[in-house]
Amino acid sequence: MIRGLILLLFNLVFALFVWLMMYFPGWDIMASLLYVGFICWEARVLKLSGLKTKQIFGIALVAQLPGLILEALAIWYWYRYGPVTSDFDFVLQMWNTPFVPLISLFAWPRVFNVALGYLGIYLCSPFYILAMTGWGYLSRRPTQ
Amino acid sequence: MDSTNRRHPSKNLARLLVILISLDLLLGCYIVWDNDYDFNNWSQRIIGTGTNKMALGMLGPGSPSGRGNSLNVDLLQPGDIILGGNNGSTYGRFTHAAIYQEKGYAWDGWLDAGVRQMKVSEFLDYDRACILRVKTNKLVKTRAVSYVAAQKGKLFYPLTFKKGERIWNCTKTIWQAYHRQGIDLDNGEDIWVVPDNLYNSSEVLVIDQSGEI
Repeated sequence: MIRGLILLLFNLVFALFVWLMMYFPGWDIMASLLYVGFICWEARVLKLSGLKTKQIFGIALVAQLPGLILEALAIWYWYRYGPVTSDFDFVLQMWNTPFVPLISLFAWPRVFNVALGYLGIYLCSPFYILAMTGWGYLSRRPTQ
Repeated sequence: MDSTNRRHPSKNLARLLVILISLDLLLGCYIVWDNDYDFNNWSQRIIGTGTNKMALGMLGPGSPSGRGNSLNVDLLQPGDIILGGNNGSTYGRFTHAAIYQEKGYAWDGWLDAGVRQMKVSEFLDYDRACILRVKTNKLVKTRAVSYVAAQKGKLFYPLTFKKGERIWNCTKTIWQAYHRQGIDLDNGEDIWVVPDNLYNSSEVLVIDQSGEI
């Protein structure tokens, strides 16, 4: 639980870091890749310290709880008030800032007037959880 | 694993966190320094305006009252800038901007669509709106429209800096389209550019405005 909260804090600090790196076009992509590398590295460290895959999944879930809650609120708003963006979408994009430079690498097509790149913002938190759990699962435990 | 030969993972994590926070502070200071930020006119800068508005509970682009406006969109010419705004915004009177193309269509940047083509009639829903005409020739305006259109589908991010051509917000596309042709529509020379910068620019004429300006 505490580890998950620490990783939540890392998401915020990395969001600020990646955003500031956007001031140096190109370097923001490096910062974003660094974050993805950090997630995988952290998953490996957790596995090496003896945690099971489902425990790593739990930690990742806690770390991305704000993102998941914001996604739920944004989807609820769409469902309740029709296809309009809300402040939840804006805050969700802020939360997922560490992934924004990677999403920005492509000019995304639009489906039903919605850019696929925007929908990618909704996939960031699940991707984080999947990447961390998957990398943790693939990392070998230390031999005794 | 020989734990005596390895640092405790939590310690590594704490060190990394300290390094990252320090980097954030250093980068923030550098950006402020690089832009010659004068803290004497803090309240006139976007960051000062935003901080003051947020302290008053104004977060985001505001909400329309439903009254709309009666902007005369028939006056629009290709390359003109259309601004719209609602009360309660964090970053100024005007909260959205688009560049007019022709036949009732303009280009803007929107969260769920990126850089897109839209109907100018959408601006009539804002509590206030205006039409700005850039003081330049027709060729420059046509090039500006083409430049924004070429960014179609690229990602929208509200807090994007002026630098770079990969991440956009509604105002940056227009500012960049004219800036690369030698016309700077941001007299404030801020780190970011917002619709109010375009309204206050000495490079534009106000053709029409309506609502609570």
